[in-house]
Amino acid sequence: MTLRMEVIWKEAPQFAAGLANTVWLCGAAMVLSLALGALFLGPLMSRNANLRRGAAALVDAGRCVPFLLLTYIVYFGLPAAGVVLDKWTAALATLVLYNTAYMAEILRAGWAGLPPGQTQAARAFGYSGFAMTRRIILPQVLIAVGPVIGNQLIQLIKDSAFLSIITVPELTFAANAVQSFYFVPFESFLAATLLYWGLCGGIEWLVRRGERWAFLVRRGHA
Amino acid sequence: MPEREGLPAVELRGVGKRFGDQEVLSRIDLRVMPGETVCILGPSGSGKSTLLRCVNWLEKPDWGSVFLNGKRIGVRAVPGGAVAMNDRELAAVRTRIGMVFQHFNLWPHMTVLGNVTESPIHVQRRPRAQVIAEAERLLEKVGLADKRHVHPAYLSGGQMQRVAIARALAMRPELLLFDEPTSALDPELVGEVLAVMQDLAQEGMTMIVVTHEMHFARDAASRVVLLDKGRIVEEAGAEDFFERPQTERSRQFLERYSR
Repeated sequence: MTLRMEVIWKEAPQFAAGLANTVWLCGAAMVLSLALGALFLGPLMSRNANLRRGAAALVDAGRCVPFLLLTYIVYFGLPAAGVVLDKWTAALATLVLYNTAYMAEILRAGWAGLPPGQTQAARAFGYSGFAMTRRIILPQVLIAVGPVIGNQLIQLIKDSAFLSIITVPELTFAANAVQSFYFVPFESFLAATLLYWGLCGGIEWLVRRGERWAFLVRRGHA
Repeated sequence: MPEREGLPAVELRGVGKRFGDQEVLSRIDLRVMPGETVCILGPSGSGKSTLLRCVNWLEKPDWGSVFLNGKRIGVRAVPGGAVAMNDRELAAVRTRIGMVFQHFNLWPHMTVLGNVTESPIHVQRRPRAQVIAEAERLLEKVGLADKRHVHPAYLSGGQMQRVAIARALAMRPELLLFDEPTSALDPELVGEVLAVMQDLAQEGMTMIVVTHEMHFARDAASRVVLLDKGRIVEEAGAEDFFERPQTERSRQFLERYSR
């Protein structure tokens, strides 16, 4: 078997464009779903049991839909209800919807793991409500769950390959396009795999650097 | 012990608290005059920490009232009665009371200086430059000026607790609450924290200290309160309490703890 890697080099711009689309879609989805997930924190940690249960049920429902199915629902199902989204909007919306449920749950677990003394001290020093969450709670939660968020981002990047089904030209779509045009399935999918590895390896590296901060927070709780 | 004149810094009238079926505090009356250091002693589970937390309403009393410099806190007068303060109003009251915790509860994502300046800048909204200058003076006072850019993770327990004291002082509090400030420390680190507290007592800071440190209570307290099963068993000047305890329970307690 001879590998026709020159085809891959020739089509490098298409792979690069696919990679770029994967990166920005997942990056934007991550930022948006982190913000939305943080909004869920209030209800998820509420003293009102009904509000808490309602929010938890919503989060569980979101986490328990397969990503591919959610993509079908958003892109093919919603038009029946009169909501027609172009493929980019549908792709981003699906990623955000899917990932928000995970982010909310990750942040909630991070908050629950915070020693109660942290909130007590914040209250004793005059904090309450949103300011307390923003200045004292959330920074510590984000640092503590950083590695988990990194893992979830890797998961999201892999799931985003399903977006090729709705013809979003992300990395897997680009690889598929190249292989079907030149009939080089092995070379093309190998190239895509290597690019996914590189991307996820970079995230892993960032996560390991962030662990220094997680250590600071854990030890500082004394 | 002469009764001091004037308005108490803190006054508790009939304060009580129950957790479920258990009454952890039964109608406590306590007055702390400005400049006094009152030590609250008592066996574990006697309600000491709960009592302290009722002062700044971290724990909401089920009965009674708390006054800070003559003004009732926790409830707000409205025409025809009173309503409970909301979180924001309680938060505003708490900025006038400093608190030091058994487990320090420093905010680990901030440096030492960040911990001390956080609330004065972001809650009290005092000018940043002035707060930082004052925080540096306070860190000097507790002997940690050289650690100001370090994170709490790199401090010993004694150093963390001294930062916690500086953090409380930076609020310019009318009153300082200490909740077993040395109980979580290695024995050899207790002294450095007590020394700082002793200085504060001598400077006339109003303090309520829940502690098991009998020597500190004897040397630094103006008054001692012995709490047992949620009730005040004895309240006396420090010297009187340790030299001439009036109740059998006090004598028992002193025998067990004073060594």
